[in-house]
Amino acid sequence: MELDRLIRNPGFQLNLLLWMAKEQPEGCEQVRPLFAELGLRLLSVEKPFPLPEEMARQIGEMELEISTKPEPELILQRPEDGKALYFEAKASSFGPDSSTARQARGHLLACGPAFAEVLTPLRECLLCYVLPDDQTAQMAACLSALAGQLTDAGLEPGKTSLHGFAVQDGSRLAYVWDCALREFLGLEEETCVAILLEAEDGETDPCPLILVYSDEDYPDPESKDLFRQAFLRRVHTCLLCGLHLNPALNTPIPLVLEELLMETTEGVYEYMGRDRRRSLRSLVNERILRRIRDYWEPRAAGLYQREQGEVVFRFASQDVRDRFLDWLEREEFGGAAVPRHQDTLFDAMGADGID
Amino acid sequence: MVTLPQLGEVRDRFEVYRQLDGQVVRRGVVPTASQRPPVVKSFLLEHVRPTAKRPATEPAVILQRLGLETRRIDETLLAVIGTDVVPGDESTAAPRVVGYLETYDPRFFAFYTTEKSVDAQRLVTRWLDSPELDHCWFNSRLLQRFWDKDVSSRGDRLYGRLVFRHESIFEMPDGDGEDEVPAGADDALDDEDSRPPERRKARFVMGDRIGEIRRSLDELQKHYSPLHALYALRFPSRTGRGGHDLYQNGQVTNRTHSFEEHRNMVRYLWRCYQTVLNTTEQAAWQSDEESVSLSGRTSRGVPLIVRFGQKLSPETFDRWVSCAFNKRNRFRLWGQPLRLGPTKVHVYGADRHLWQPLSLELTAQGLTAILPKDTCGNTFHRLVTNIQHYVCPKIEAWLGNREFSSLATFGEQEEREDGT
Repeated sequence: MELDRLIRNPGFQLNLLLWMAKEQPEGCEQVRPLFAELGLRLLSVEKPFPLPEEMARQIGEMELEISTKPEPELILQRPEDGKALYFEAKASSFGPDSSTARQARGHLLACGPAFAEVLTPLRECLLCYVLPDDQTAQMAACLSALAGQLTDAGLEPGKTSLHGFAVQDGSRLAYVWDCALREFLGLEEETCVAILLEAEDGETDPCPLILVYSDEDYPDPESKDLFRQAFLRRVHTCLLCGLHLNPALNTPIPLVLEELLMETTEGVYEYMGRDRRRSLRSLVNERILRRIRDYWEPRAAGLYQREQGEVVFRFASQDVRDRFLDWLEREEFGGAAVPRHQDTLFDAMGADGID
Repeated sequence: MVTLPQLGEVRDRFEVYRQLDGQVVRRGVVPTASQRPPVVKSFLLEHVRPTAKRPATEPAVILQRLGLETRRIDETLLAVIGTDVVPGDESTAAPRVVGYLETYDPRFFAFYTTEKSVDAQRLVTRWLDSPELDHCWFNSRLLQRFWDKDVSSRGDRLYGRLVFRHESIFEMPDGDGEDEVPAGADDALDDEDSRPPERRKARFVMGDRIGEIRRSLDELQKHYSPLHALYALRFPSRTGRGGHDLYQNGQVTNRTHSFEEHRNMVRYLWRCYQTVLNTTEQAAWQSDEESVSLSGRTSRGVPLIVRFGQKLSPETFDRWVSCAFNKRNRFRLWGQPLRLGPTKVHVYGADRHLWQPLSLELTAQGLTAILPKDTCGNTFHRLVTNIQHYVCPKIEAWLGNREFSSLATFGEQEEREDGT
């Protein structure tokens, strides 16, 4: 697995940032916990930032396109001095005229005076854009142009910092930051680079355990589809655990897909955008629920049913329940990705799959 | 084995204590000079952490679901009724008291019994078929900590007893085939007529004065790694002869003459374990909140990281990965490994005993585990216990950047609160 390809994968980027905020023993790190070393702790993951009411109203009356619900990848906090880092990760840079600029303007405003208003007692924040290192110069120019637009419109954007993922000597993954971060956090060391991890060999994927589940994999035919597979396995696990813990016989056991996805993602699902939610639901419907239906409908009538748009399991006897759970433990729900934004069999059956 | 009294004969818990001390004089039973007090085996049990999906259940209800009858002696003590099958007539079953279950708090129970060790273990193992109950897992790192911070300073002339046990079950092709030897059955010898497979298998008993053990242990451990796989530890009595043998699965065997002293020891171990488990869960849950632990503020969602003292060979690693997630594996894990390299897999699976999710990275050098929010920390302790017992005897383990064994505080918290 080439590191150079991985660092352009949004799932890989986000998971690295999360690992960098996790305390780990020195010398045995999964990923060097650079942020934990700097006293930074996790505040939120993929949670939309609600701009203050007055600002949202003002934006609504402007011609400039600005997102009123910017959604950072994560926010880290340092309660001791009231400082926070607001992260947005990108596979590549973009220009001030691109559609992505709308979100970026929202991020810039979220990191201005609005930040302390919304997340008091935290006092100030730095907007950190994280990209492959060869993209940071273009990104800096774009952010500067966008900040200028906002200032001209009478708004107050926040300070920005550019961070890059770089591959050194083909096997070491480095994190590079600028002097804006050093000044903001009051770092004395002049070093602006840290090695996060070293790839063991060419055969081993250096990806650490996945902390935030996603169906988005880097669109490369050589990619191992790791994030999608991990997501499906996690859904499979949550489904299996839930059914094992419910011993009811001859009683409907409803499966609410939204609840299953909330459990799978440990609550992050609630903050995801509509398209992403829809894509996750489609994947679960296609890869897991349809497989269960196809296999069990001819073998145990009534075991898997749809009642009022909801999937309901009902086990007629202990023997049927045991056979089903044995099968569910053995079954693998992998397979190729479901094309995004394309109606699936289940989408066609209902407004949005099972929900 | 001493037969416990019939229910009608028990007036209160103190009568139970006297019985477990061997002090009760029974009509028609002539005591002899050589008669010893019964050997009480206590089992510390954990009722899985209550959640919205799995609310807390009264111990009487859990046992009832397992087909056992109970009688209440007082608010926190239950007599557990079992049945004896008369040999030759399997249809007759005589109900009798097989032990007593005391509720220490809604999450932890202790079961006291004088049944023979093997019968007691069989009974408790059957209860653990229920996903509502689990052992309290005192892994080798915690037992070593008990030795370092408590037992080794109880007095050099007192007798101590340490048992070490390690079996590299994944070093052979059919690594998961053997039956596990139950805890407490440590006097069992290898069957002379059998042909045990050749693999690393070590069992040591050090029974000596504490001073002698302390002077030798460090040096011995440096030279032979299975001596890091501490399996059982005796806590010498503070008031008389004998002691209390603590096993990895939370069994505590009373080898003193006082049940009340034994109960004090079991309760002490419970408090220590409770602290360890609370700290584990507060620190380990994946969450965007901060927690305050005994050591101060700690980030939440930190991983369990285990590093092996010796790298596993690719063959042993493959066997571990292929066996560890089988239905009857000792690790009680479920999952479908995702291969990331020759000696690296990710498993987004579950603890098969408690049916709760668990994410694992296994490599030839070690293991990393992530525990989702609101799940039970016992999973980590069972995992570490099994790794040292069956994969690698010498390990280093951390929860975040905190050494795993340092999670046990041995009453320091109470001392601070007392101002002493």
